Amino acid sequence: MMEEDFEAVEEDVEQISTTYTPPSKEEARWIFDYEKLYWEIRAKLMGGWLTQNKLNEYVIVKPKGATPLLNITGIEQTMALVNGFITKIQALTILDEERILTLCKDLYINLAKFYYINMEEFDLTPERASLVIRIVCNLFETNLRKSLGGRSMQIIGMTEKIIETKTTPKRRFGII
Amino acid sequence: MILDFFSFPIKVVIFKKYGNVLKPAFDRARYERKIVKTQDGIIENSYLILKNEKVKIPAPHISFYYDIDNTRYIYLLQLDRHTFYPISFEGNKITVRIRKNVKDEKGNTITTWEEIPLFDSNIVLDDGNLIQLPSMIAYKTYNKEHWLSSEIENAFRLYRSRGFWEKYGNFVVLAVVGIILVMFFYVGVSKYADLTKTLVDGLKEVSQSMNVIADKLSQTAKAISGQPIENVTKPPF
Repeated sequence: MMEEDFEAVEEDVEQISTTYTPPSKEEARWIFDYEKLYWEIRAKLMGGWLTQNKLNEYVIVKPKGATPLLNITGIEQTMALVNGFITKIQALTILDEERILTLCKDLYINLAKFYYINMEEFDLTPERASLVIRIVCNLFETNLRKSLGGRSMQIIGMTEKIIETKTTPKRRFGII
Repeated sequence: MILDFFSFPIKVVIFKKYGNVLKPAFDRARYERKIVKTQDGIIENSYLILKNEKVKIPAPHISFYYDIDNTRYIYLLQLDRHTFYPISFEGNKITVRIRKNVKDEKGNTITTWEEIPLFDSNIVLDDGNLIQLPSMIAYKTYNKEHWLSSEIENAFRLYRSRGFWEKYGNFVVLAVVGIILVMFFYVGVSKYADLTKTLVDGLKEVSQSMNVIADKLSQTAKAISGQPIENVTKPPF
Protein backbone atom coordinates (compact mmCIF):
# COMPACT_ATOMS: atom_id res chain seq x y z
CA MET A 1 0.00 0.00 0.00
CA MET A 2 1.33 3.48 -0.90
CA GLU A 3 1.86 6.05 1.83
CA GLU A 4 -0.72 8.39 0.25
CA ASP A 5 -3.32 5.66 0.34
CA PHE A 6 -2.59 5.05 3.99
CA GLU A 7 -3.13 8.74 4.72
CA ALA A 8 -6.40 8.65 2.78
CA VAL A 9 -7.57 5.73 4.89
CA GLU A 10 -6.50 7.55 8.05
CA GLU A 11 -8.91 10.37 7.25
CA ASP A 12 -11.91 8.04 7.24
CA VAL A 13 -11.14 6.30 10.46
CA GLU A 14 -11.07 7.25 14.08
CA GLN A 15 -7.97 6.32 16.09
CA ILE A 16 -7.96 5.45 19.76
CA SER A 17 -4.49 5.19 21.29
CA THR A 18 -3.79 2.32 23.65
CA THR A 19 -0.39 3.52 25.03
CA TYR A 20 0.87 0.03 24.61
CA THR A 21 3.88 -1.10 22.56
CA PRO A 22 4.61 -4.69 21.63
CA PRO A 23 7.75 -6.38 23.03
CA SER A 24 10.91 -5.62 21.07
CA LYS A 25 12.58 -8.10 18.74
CA GLU A 26 15.39 -8.70 21.22
CA GLU A 27 12.90 -10.01 23.74
CA ALA A 28 12.27 -13.61 22.78
CA ARG A 29 9.58 -13.79 25.43
CA TRP A 30 6.75 -12.51 23.23
CA ILE A 31 4.72 -15.36 24.55
CA PHE A 32 4.05 -13.35 27.72
CA ASP A 33 2.36 -10.72 25.59
CA TYR A 34 -1.01 -11.17 27.24
CA GLU A 35 -1.92 -7.48 26.96
CA LYS A 36 -2.45 -7.84 23.23
CA LEU A 37 -5.36 -10.17 23.88
CA TYR A 38 -6.96 -7.59 26.16
CA TRP A 39 -6.70 -4.84 23.53
CA GLU A 40 -7.74 -7.14 20.72
CA ILE A 41 -10.97 -8.09 22.51
CA ARG A 42 -11.59 -4.44 23.28
CA ALA A 43 -11.02 -3.40 19.65
CA LYS A 44 -13.39 -6.08 18.38
CA LEU A 45 -16.11 -5.09 20.82
CA MET A 46 -15.74 -1.45 19.78
CA GLY A 47 -16.34 -2.45 16.16
CA GLY A 48 -12.77 -1.78 15.05
CA TRP A 49 -9.43 -3.53 14.75
CA LEU A 50 -5.95 -3.37 16.25
CA THR A 51 -3.01 -1.98 14.24
CA GLN A 52 0.38 -0.38 14.87
CA ASN A 53 1.21 3.25 14.11
CA LYS A 54 4.54 4.75 13.05
CA LEU A 55 5.73 4.92 16.68
CA ASN A 56 5.24 1.12 16.92
CA GLU A 57 2.35 1.60 19.32
CA TYR A 58 -0.84 -0.36 19.07
CA VAL A 59 -3.83 1.71 17.96
CA ILE A 60 -7.49 0.77 17.80
CA VAL A 61 -8.84 1.87 14.45
CA LYS A 62 -12.53 2.01 13.71
CA PRO A 63 -14.56 3.55 10.91
CA LYS A 64 -16.08 6.91 11.79
CA GLY A 65 -19.67 6.60 12.93
CA ALA A 66 -19.44 2.83 13.41
CA THR A 67 -21.71 1.65 16.20
CA PRO A 68 -20.16 -0.86 18.58
CA LEU A 69 -21.88 -4.09 19.58
CA LEU A 70 -22.62 -2.69 23.03
CA ASN A 71 -22.31 0.73 24.63
CA ILE A 72 -19.18 2.06 26.31
CA THR A 73 -20.34 1.10 29.82
CA GLY A 74 -20.88 -2.42 28.61
CA ILE A 75 -17.45 -2.57 26.99
CA GLU A 76 -15.73 -1.22 30.11
CA GLN A 77 -17.50 -3.66 32.41
CA THR A 78 -16.98 -6.60 30.06
CA MET A 79 -13.29 -5.83 29.86
CA ALA A 80 -13.12 -5.60 33.64
CA LEU A 81 -14.66 -9.06 33.85
CA VAL A 82 -12.42 -10.51 31.14
CA ASN A 83 -9.32 -8.94 32.69
CA GLY A 84 -9.97 -11.00 35.79
CA PHE A 85 -9.55 -14.14 33.71
CA ILE A 86 -6.32 -13.04 31.93
CA THR A 87 -2.97 -13.12 33.70
CA LYS A 88 0.66 -12.96 32.70
CA ILE A 89 1.36 -16.24 34.46
CA GLN A 90 -1.05 -18.14 32.24
CA ALA A 91 1.70 -18.58 29.64
CA LEU A 92 3.99 -20.19 32.21
CA THR A 93 1.48 -22.68 33.52
CA ILE A 94 0.95 -26.23 32.40
CA LEU A 95 -2.73 -26.77 31.73
CA ASP A 96 -4.46 -29.86 30.50
CA GLU A 97 -7.34 -29.68 28.05
CA GLU A 98 -10.00 -30.36 30.63
CA ARG A 99 -8.88 -27.42 32.77
CA ILE A 100 -8.89 -25.08 29.74
CA LEU A 101 -12.41 -26.18 28.86
CA THR A 102 -13.55 -25.59 32.43
CA LEU A 103 -12.08 -22.07 32.46
CA CYS A 104 -13.72 -21.24 29.13
CA LYS A 105 -17.05 -22.62 30.29
CA ASP A 106 -16.76 -20.54 33.45
CA LEU A 107 -16.17 -17.32 31.53
CA TYR A 108 -18.94 -18.14 29.05
CA ILE A 109 -21.54 -18.73 31.78
CA ASN A 110 -20.41 -15.70 33.79
CA LEU A 111 -20.68 -13.45 30.75
CA ALA A 112 -24.12 -14.83 29.89
CA LYS A 113 -25.38 -14.13 33.40
CA PHE A 114 -23.73 -10.71 33.42
CA TYR A 115 -25.47 -9.71 30.17
CA TYR A 116 -28.75 -11.22 31.33
CA ILE A 117 -28.76 -8.90 34.33
CA ASN A 118 -27.48 -5.79 32.53
CA MET A 119 -28.96 -6.24 29.06
CA GLU A 120 -30.91 -2.98 28.99
CA GLU A 121 -28.13 -1.01 30.67
CA PHE A 122 -25.58 -2.14 28.07
CA ASP A 123 -27.92 -1.46 25.15
CA LEU A 124 -27.82 -5.13 24.16
CA THR A 125 -30.22 -7.55 22.52
CA PRO A 126 -30.02 -11.32 23.06
CA GLU A 127 -28.62 -11.94 19.55
CA ARG A 128 -25.90 -9.36 19.96
CA ALA A 129 -25.14 -10.61 23.47
CA SER A 130 -24.63 -14.14 22.08
CA LEU A 131 -22.27 -12.72 19.46
CA VAL A 132 -20.24 -10.77 22.04
CA ILE A 133 -19.91 -13.86 24.23
CA ARG A 134 -18.66 -15.92 21.29
CA ILE A 135 -16.11 -13.26 20.26
CA VAL A 136 -14.69 -13.03 23.77
CA CYS A 137 -14.65 -16.77 24.42
CA ASN A 138 -13.05 -17.66 21.07
CA LEU A 139 -10.12 -15.30 21.68
CA PHE A 140 -9.84 -16.38 25.31
CA GLU A 141 -9.75 -20.08 24.42
CA THR A 142 -7.13 -19.66 21.70
CA ASN A 143 -4.97 -17.68 24.14
CA LEU A 144 -5.27 -20.36 26.82
CA ARG A 145 -4.39 -23.13 24.41
CA LYS A 146 -0.86 -21.68 24.24
CA SER A 147 -0.20 -23.29 27.61
CA LEU A 148 -1.72 -26.67 26.76
CA GLY A 149 0.68 -29.21 28.21
CA GLY A 150 3.24 -26.44 28.89
CA ARG A 151 3.76 -25.81 25.17
CA SER A 152 4.73 -22.16 25.65
CA MET A 153 7.46 -23.17 28.07
CA GLN A 154 8.79 -25.62 25.49
CA ILE A 155 8.86 -22.79 22.91
CA ILE A 156 10.82 -20.59 25.32
CA GLY A 157 13.30 -23.43 25.85
CA MET A 158 13.66 -23.87 22.10
CA THR A 159 14.36 -20.18 21.48
CA GLU A 160 17.01 -20.18 24.22
CA LYS A 161 18.71 -23.18 22.62
CA ILE A 162 18.73 -21.46 19.22
CA ILE A 163 20.34 -18.36 20.74
CA GLU A 164 22.99 -20.52 22.45
CA THR A 165 23.87 -22.40 19.28
CA LYS A 166 24.17 -19.16 17.34
CA THR A 167 26.44 -17.49 19.88
CA THR A 168 28.81 -20.40 20.55
CA PRO A 169 30.80 -21.35 17.36
CA LYS A 170 31.17 -25.05 16.59
CA ARG A 171 34.56 -26.72 17.07
CA ARG A 172 35.62 -28.49 13.91
CA PHE A 173 38.39 -30.80 15.09
CA GLY A 174 37.60 -32.05 18.58
CA ILE A 175 39.50 -29.93 21.08
CA ILE A 176 40.68 -27.27 18.58
CA MET B 1 -49.59 -43.23 14.22
CA ILE B 2 -50.19 -44.47 17.76
CA LEU B 3 -46.62 -43.67 18.74
CA ASP B 4 -47.00 -40.19 17.24
CA PHE B 5 -50.09 -39.63 19.30
CA PHE B 6 -48.27 -40.49 22.51
CA SER B 7 -45.00 -38.65 21.78
CA PHE B 8 -46.62 -35.52 20.28
CA PRO B 9 -50.07 -35.32 21.89
CA ILE B 10 -50.86 -31.66 21.12
CA LYS B 11 -52.41 -30.82 17.74
CA VAL B 12 -51.14 -27.57 16.24
CA VAL B 13 -52.62 -25.38 13.55
CA ILE B 14 -50.04 -22.96 12.19
CA PHE B 15 -51.10 -19.94 10.16
CA LYS B 16 -48.14 -19.17 7.93
CA LYS B 17 -47.85 -15.63 6.65
CA TYR B 18 -47.20 -15.27 2.92
CA GLY B 19 -47.63 -11.63 1.89
CA ASN B 20 -51.27 -10.80 2.67
CA VAL B 21 -52.35 -14.44 2.81
CA LEU B 22 -52.46 -16.79 5.77
CA LYS B 23 -51.87 -20.42 4.87
CA PRO B 24 -52.88 -22.98 7.49
CA ALA B 25 -50.57 -25.93 8.15
CA PHE B 26 -51.09 -28.81 10.54
CA ASP B 27 -48.50 -30.06 12.94
CA ARG B 28 -48.08 -31.93 16.20
CA ALA B 29 -46.31 -30.74 19.31
CA ARG B 30 -44.91 -31.93 22.58
CA TYR B 31 -44.57 -30.04 25.85
CA GLU B 32 -41.18 -30.27 27.51
CA ARG B 33 -39.93 -28.91 30.80
CA LYS B 34 -36.19 -28.49 31.02
CA ILE B 35 -34.01 -27.75 34.04
CA VAL B 36 -30.57 -26.20 33.63
CA LYS B 37 -28.35 -26.36 36.69
CA THR B 38 -25.98 -23.46 37.31
CA GLN B 39 -23.71 -22.51 40.17
CA ASP B 40 -26.21 -19.91 41.35
CA GLY B 41 -29.27 -22.10 41.12
CA ILE B 42 -31.62 -23.77 38.72
CA ILE B 43 -33.23 -22.28 35.61
CA GLU B 44 -36.48 -23.98 34.81
CA ASN B 45 -38.04 -23.48 31.40
CA SER B 46 -40.83 -25.06 29.43
CA TYR B 47 -40.80 -25.50 25.67
CA LEU B 48 -43.14 -26.52 22.91
CA ILE B 49 -41.44 -28.79 20.38
CA LEU B 50 -43.07 -28.73 16.95
CA LYS B 51 -42.65 -32.04 15.13
CA ASN B 52 -42.74 -31.10 11.44
CA GLU B 53 -41.30 -27.61 11.83
CA LYS B 54 -38.46 -29.02 13.99
CA VAL B 55 -38.47 -25.93 16.17
CA LYS B 56 -38.31 -25.52 19.93
CA ILE B 57 -40.20 -22.42 21.07
CA PRO B 58 -40.94 -21.11 24.56
CA ALA B 59 -44.18 -22.72 25.65
CA PRO B 60 -47.21 -20.40 25.39
CA HIS B 61 -49.35 -19.79 28.46
CA ILE B 62 -51.93 -22.45 29.40
CA SER B 63 -54.77 -20.11 28.40
CA PHE B 64 -53.82 -20.54 24.71
CA TYR B 65 -54.66 -24.25 24.64
CA TYR B 66 -58.12 -25.38 23.54
CA ASP B 67 -59.74 -28.73 24.28
CA ILE B 68 -61.68 -29.91 21.22
CA ASP B 69 -63.06 -33.50 21.22
CA ASN B 70 -60.78 -34.46 24.10
CA THR B 71 -57.69 -33.38 22.13
CA ARG B 72 -55.58 -30.43 22.99
CA TYR B 73 -55.25 -27.83 20.23
CA ILE B 74 -53.08 -24.76 19.90
CA TYR B 75 -53.21 -22.14 17.17
CA LEU B 76 -50.04 -20.32 16.17
CA LEU B 77 -49.18 -17.49 13.81
CA GLN B 78 -45.81 -17.96 12.09
CA LEU B 79 -43.95 -14.90 10.88
CA ASP B 80 -40.49 -16.33 10.19
CA ARG B 81 -38.57 -19.54 10.76
CA HIS B 82 -38.42 -19.21 14.54
CA THR B 83 -41.13 -16.66 15.35
CA PHE B 84 -44.46 -18.09 16.47
CA TYR B 85 -47.21 -16.20 18.24
CA PRO B 86 -50.14 -17.97 19.89
CA ILE B 87 -53.57 -16.95 18.61
CA SER B 88 -56.49 -16.54 20.94
CA PHE B 89 -60.20 -16.56 20.12
CA GLU B 90 -62.29 -14.40 22.39
CA GLY B 91 -65.85 -13.53 21.39
CA ASN B 92 -65.80 -12.26 17.81
CA LYS B 93 -62.16 -11.26 17.92
CA ILE B 94 -59.18 -13.27 16.72
CA THR B 95 -56.09 -11.78 18.29
CA VAL B 96 -52.38 -12.36 18.67
CA ARG B 97 -51.00 -11.69 22.09
CA ILE B 98 -47.43 -10.44 22.20
CA ARG B 99 -45.23 -10.32 25.25
CA LYS B 100 -43.91 -6.83 25.86
CA ASN B 101 -41.58 -5.38 28.47
CA VAL B 102 -42.80 -2.07 29.88
CA LYS B 103 -41.08 0.12 32.44
CA ASP B 104 -43.19 1.32 35.35
CA GLU B 105 -42.85 4.58 37.30
CA LYS B 106 -40.05 3.22 39.48
CA GLY B 107 -38.08 2.10 36.45
CA ASN B 108 -38.67 -1.64 36.94
CA THR B 109 -39.48 -3.72 33.88
CA ILE B 110 -42.82 -5.50 33.86
CA THR B 111 -43.83 -8.03 31.22
CA THR B 112 -47.29 -7.44 29.87
CA TRP B 113 -49.37 -9.02 27.14
CA GLU B 114 -50.35 -6.84 24.23
CA GLU B 115 -53.30 -7.92 22.11
CA ILE B 116 -53.11 -7.28 18.37
CA PRO B 117 -56.02 -8.08 16.03
CA LEU B 118 -54.98 -10.63 13.42
CA PHE B 119 -56.99 -9.54 10.39
CA ASP B 120 -56.21 -5.87 10.70
CA SER B 121 -52.87 -5.49 9.01
CA ASN B 122 -52.29 -2.02 10.43
CA ILE B 123 -51.09 -2.01 14.01
CA VAL B 124 -51.06 1.16 16.05
CA LEU B 125 -48.12 1.40 18.38
CA ASP B 126 -47.95 3.29 21.67
CA ASP B 127 -46.08 6.19 20.07
CA GLY B 128 -48.79 6.59 17.41
CA ASN B 129 -46.88 5.04 14.51
CA LEU B 130 -48.59 2.63 12.15
CA ILE B 131 -46.80 -0.58 11.26
CA GLN B 132 -47.74 -3.51 9.06
CA LEU B 133 -48.07 -7.01 10.44
CA PRO B 134 -44.88 -8.39 8.84
CA SER B 135 -42.81 -5.63 10.45
CA MET B 136 -43.86 -6.94 13.83
CA ILE B 137 -40.68 -9.03 13.71
CA ALA B 138 -38.66 -5.92 14.50
CA TYR B 139 -40.81 -5.24 17.54
CA LYS B 140 -40.85 -8.74 18.94
CA THR B 141 -39.58 -9.14 22.45
CA TYR B 142 -37.52 -12.12 23.43
CA ASN B 143 -37.82 -14.33 26.40
CA LYS B 144 -34.65 -13.50 28.28
CA GLU B 145 -34.86 -16.54 30.54
CA HIS B 146 -35.05 -18.72 27.47
CA TRP B 147 -31.97 -16.99 26.08
CA LEU B 148 -29.96 -17.44 29.29
CA SER B 149 -30.80 -21.11 29.69
CA SER B 150 -29.97 -21.79 26.03
CA GLU B 151 -26.66 -19.95 26.41
CA ILE B 152 -25.74 -22.00 29.48
CA GLU B 153 -26.67 -25.17 27.61
CA ASN B 154 -24.44 -23.95 24.76
CA ALA B 155 -21.54 -23.45 27.17
CA PHE B 156 -21.91 -27.00 28.48
CA ARG B 157 -22.11 -28.34 24.95
CA LEU B 158 -19.21 -26.33 23.51
CA TYR B 159 -16.77 -26.83 26.35
CA ARG B 160 -17.62 -30.32 27.49
CA SER B 161 -14.68 -32.52 28.36
CA ARG B 162 -14.32 -35.78 26.52
CA GLY B 163 -15.47 -38.88 28.34
CA PHE B 164 -13.66 -42.19 28.75
CA TRP B 165 -15.11 -43.77 25.59
CA GLU B 166 -14.37 -40.67 23.49
CA LYS B 167 -10.75 -40.65 24.70
CA TYR B 168 -9.90 -44.34 24.69
CA GLY B 169 -12.83 -45.89 22.82
CA ASN B 170 -10.87 -46.43 19.60
CA PHE B 171 -8.01 -48.16 21.40
CA VAL B 172 -10.37 -50.40 23.36
CA VAL B 173 -12.28 -51.41 20.21
CA LEU B 174 -9.01 -52.06 18.35
CA ALA B 175 -7.69 -54.18 21.23
CA VAL B 176 -10.89 -56.23 21.44
CA VAL B 177 -10.97 -56.78 17.68
CA GLY B 178 -7.28 -57.78 17.78
CA ILE B 179 -7.89 -60.30 20.57
CA ILE B 180 -10.88 -61.77 18.70
CA LEU B 181 -8.81 -62.03 15.50
CA VAL B 182 -5.96 -63.78 17.36
CA MET B 183 -8.46 -66.17 18.91
CA PHE B 184 -9.97 -67.00 15.53
CA PHE B 185 -6.49 -67.45 14.05
CA TYR B 186 -5.43 -69.74 16.90
CA VAL B 187 -8.59 -71.84 16.62
CA GLY B 188 -8.25 -72.00 12.85
CA VAL B 189 -4.59 -73.07 12.99
CA SER B 190 -5.25 -75.76 15.64
CA LYS B 191 -8.19 -77.11 13.64
CA TYR B 192 -6.05 -77.16 10.49
CA ALA B 193 -3.29 -79.01 12.36
CA ASP B 194 -5.83 -81.61 13.61
CA LEU B 195 -7.20 -82.07 10.12
CA THR B 196 -3.75 -82.54 8.55
CA LYS B 197 -2.81 -84.96 11.32
CA THR B 198 -5.85 -87.15 10.62
CA LEU B 199 -5.14 -86.96 6.88
CA VAL B 200 -1.52 -88.04 7.35
CA ASP B 201 -2.64 -90.89 9.61
CA GLY B 202 -5.14 -92.01 6.99
CA LEU B 203 -2.52 -91.88 4.27
CA LYS B 204 -0.14 -93.89 6.46
CA GLU B 205 -2.84 -96.54 6.93
CA VAL B 206 -3.49 -96.62 3.20
CA SER B 207 0.21 -97.04 2.46
CA GLN B 208 0.47 -99.85 5.04
CA SER B 209 -2.52 -101.66 3.55
CA MET B 210 -0.94 -101.23 0.12
CA ASN B 211 2.20 -102.95 1.45
CA VAL B 212 0.05 -105.80 2.81
CA ILE B 213 -1.71 -106.14 -0.54
CA ALA B 214 1.66 -106.18 -2.31
CA ASP B 215 2.86 -108.98 0.01
CA LYS B 216 -0.28 -110.99 -0.63
CA LEU B 217 0.05 -110.52 -4.35
CA SER B 218 3.69 -111.63 -4.30
CA GLN B 219 2.70 -114.70 -2.28
CA THR B 220 -0.07 -115.61 -4.72
CA ALA B 221 2.38 -115.15 -7.56
CA LYS B 222 4.78 -117.50 -5.79
CA ALA B 223 1.96 -120.04 -5.23
CA ILE B 224 1.05 -119.96 -8.88
CA SER B 225 4.63 -120.45 -9.95
CA GLY B 226 5.01 -123.42 -7.51
CA GLN B 227 7.37 -121.76 -5.04
CA PRO B 228 6.86 -122.32 -1.23
CA ILE B 229 4.55 -119.82 0.48
CA GLU B 230 5.61 -118.20 3.78
CA ASN B 231 3.13 -117.59 6.65
CA VAL B 232 -0.07 -118.12 4.79
CA THR B 233 -2.97 -117.15 7.03
CA LYS B 234 -6.24 -118.85 6.69
CA PRO B 235 -9.25 -116.72 5.86
CA PRO B 236 -11.71 -116.20 8.78
CA PHE B 237 -14.58 -118.01 7.00
